[in-house]
Amino acid sequence: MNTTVVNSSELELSKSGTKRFSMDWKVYRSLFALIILMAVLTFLTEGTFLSSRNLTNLTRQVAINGILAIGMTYVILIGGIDLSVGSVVALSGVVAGVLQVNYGLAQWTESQAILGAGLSIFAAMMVGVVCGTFNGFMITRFRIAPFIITLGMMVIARGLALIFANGAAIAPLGDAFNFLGQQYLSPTTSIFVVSGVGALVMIQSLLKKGKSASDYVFMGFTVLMTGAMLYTFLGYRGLPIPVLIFGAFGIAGILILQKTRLGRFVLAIGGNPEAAWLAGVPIRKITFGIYVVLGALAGLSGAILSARLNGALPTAGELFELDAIAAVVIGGTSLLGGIGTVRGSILGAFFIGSLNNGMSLMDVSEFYQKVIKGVIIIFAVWFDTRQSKSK
Amino acid sequence: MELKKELLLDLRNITKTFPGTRALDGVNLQVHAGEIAALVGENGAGKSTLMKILSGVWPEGSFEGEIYVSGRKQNFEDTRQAHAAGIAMIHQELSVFSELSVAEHLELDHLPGWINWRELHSRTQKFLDTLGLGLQSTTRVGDLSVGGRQLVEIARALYRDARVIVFDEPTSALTEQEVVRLYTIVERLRSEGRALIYITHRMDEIFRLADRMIVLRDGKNAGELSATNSQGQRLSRAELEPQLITWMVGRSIQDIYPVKNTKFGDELLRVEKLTLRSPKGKVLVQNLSFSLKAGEVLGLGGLLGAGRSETFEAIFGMLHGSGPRGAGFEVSGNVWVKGKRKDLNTPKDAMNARMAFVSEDRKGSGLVLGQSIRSNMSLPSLVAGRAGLARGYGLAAQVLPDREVKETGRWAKELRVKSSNLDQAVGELSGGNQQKVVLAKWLMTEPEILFLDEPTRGIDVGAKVEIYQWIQKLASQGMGILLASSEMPELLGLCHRILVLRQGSLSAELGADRATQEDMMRAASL
Repeated sequence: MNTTVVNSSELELSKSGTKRFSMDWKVYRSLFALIILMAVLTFLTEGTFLSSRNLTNLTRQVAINGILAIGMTYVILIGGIDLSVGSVVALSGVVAGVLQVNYGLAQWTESQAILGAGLSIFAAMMVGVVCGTFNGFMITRFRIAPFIITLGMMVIARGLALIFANGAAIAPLGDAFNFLGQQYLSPTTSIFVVSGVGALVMIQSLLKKGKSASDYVFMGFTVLMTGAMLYTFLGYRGLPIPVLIFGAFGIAGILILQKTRLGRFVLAIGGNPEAAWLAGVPIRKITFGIYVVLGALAGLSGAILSARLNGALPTAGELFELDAIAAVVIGGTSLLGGIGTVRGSILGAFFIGSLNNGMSLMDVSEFYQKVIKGVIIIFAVWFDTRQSKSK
Repeated sequence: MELKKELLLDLRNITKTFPGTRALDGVNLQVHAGEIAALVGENGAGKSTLMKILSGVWPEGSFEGEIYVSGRKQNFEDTRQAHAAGIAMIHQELSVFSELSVAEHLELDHLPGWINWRELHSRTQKFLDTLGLGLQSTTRVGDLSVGGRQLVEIARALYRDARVIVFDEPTSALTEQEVVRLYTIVERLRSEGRALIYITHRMDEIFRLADRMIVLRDGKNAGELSATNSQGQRLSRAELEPQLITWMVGRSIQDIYPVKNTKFGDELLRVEKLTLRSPKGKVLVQNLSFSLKAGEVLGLGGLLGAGRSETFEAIFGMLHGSGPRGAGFEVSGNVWVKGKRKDLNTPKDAMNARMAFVSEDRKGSGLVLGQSIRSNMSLPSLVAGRAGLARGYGLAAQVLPDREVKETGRWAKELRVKSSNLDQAVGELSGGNQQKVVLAKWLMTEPEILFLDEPTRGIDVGAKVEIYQWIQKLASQGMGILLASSEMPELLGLCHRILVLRQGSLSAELGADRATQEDMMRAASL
């Protein structure tokens, strides 16, 4: 016989299957950091921080940065960056404002009011889509670094916002439009929505075969979160509309990344574009699409922000891009791409939001707030990288 | 030969433990002046760890054992002290700074704070002239080829007058001409009385250069062979190789190459007049035509840069404008798959035509190193919709984790991927196991035509043999296999026919039964 003798007993056979009782501590690390921060803030504000009213406000403040952070997570995961979101928020808000005030959509009444509001919101999103399309097109077609393109877009969109608004605030906007940023679901509806989502997540987890330790922790966490949300929203005025939108996008963002083919492709592109391409992943299409979606989310955020303020400011949304990037990074996503989660970014957005909210409650001057926030962001990321290295 | 030469390097009883493993266990290594000692062993045998200890990367105190250079005991605290003792490493991945000049590289360790450029260049150029390697002190290192950069590293070692020089896989990225030049240099260094340690996976190099072969296995000395017999005559490869391989893998392997498949089927692939131009207009592949039958292993040989990989990339759609290599590549020619003409623009098109491509560069285009074995294995099947890994259509299709674990687990077992579990990052695996993951991920897509580009580069003998067996097994199952390799024995041992390329065009087609390495060499270089 000419064949080779390979003694299989000498070769260690691999154990198939996944880790059963291991925990994904990285996710919970962000969570613990958030809980510690909230505890400290509660202590420093003598409990005010934990009141239903304040927590509701906190979620309202977090909603916009959270929506941006969800989209930003995908952009960073594919190895990109988008610095233009803050300016796009302003530009789209201004466009919605111009429609509302200069074109008189705010004066429309009855059922037309809803149409007017819808048109304004749609226009805001379209502005975002156009900006995102520009970013995505330049990045995929001409292979210019995303940092440069979106930096340019950041300046262009800010300039356009100032031009359209003539450099001044546009106000007041219509009540139907403001609903998007200011209103709440009624407490009864809120109970249904919050506990419905909580129940769905629980059922999914319970149906999963071969539960690991982290699955049980996750179920406990779900119960806890549902309870916390009911306490927050029922103790005040119900579920704020921006938070409802944030939640919907958050769930979608998590599911797409975890469960779908697209999610796998996104992680592969960020991890190694050459290998992803060779394996047949349509890199250009996905990259382009992700910038467009982030643009649309920025447009929607612009509409929500101007609705919340009852006015469109061309200077709104300044440094929003940095808050979104910070949220993503605090949530454990690698700036190099390929590694990260949407739920981490959501926690990151709450981390930054709590910091802002808590310091305002304590009457820390805004100048000092910036310094403290910067220091804490650096510390959080340093701690995170140190932890991952030591693993 | 009768004179006992000076013992330049003596490593005694080196033991190094990492948490959980003993990387080195009482290893001894002696190298004399004017000697080339080949250090051989599979990946993970402890070669790199031993060299890190020798070069001071692992400082005194982090290991047990003693290092003697020219009879004096050394205690290296860092790499600088190893340099000072006359030890130099020529690394596999060259650690050069592409913006710096050759002169700056030579004096990198002791560049003065204020540089007198004229003096620096005249000083270093004078030295370079004595070497006769054709290096200019003012050349920017980034402008040199890989071979040229390696010469800079060698020059740097000689500039310090290193007496012990370690070559770590020096030929893995060189062209044939550069390899020949390197051999001459290595032999010259030997004749100058330096002690050389040569690490390589390529057997032909070992038998050509080494005076002595030291085999490591599992962190221990497995054996040692002299290349000459007691009369001072050089022994042949056939006399040395079986013993060497037995020591390396810990078992005897009668024949590395399994029996070739003999059942052929219908034509699977026909390529006509394939031509590829680079964005700068350079012709990389010219008018290449061939056909491949089911069950056939067709070899693609030729020197580095002859267009082997480029042929694969062009057929597989790698060079389409929407890929990461960018626009500008021009591909022309016709491809028939099972008698049907196909336009293969992107890798996805090729995958839909039941092709698979195990690329040359595992780290570059083969694997997502930071991700798990499972994600890596399932990626192409998810794209192509094979193995039932996803439910639904398009990008929103849901990945089925249970099914994924089952399928990837099955393939990991089939190919004997050694890992702690499927969620382990592929970057943590050895080269051989990484290559098995690449092979598994493509076999999962149920291909009919398989492109293998240097499938055994940089992997150890055990894994090599397993891959050879897989090649024949797949061929006997009716797969058509295109195999590109720079190792001629590999092509002769595995293929039915061999196409030899030269500067992008077909230079000869050889039947592997009668062809010899000389035939291939002649056709490749002519």
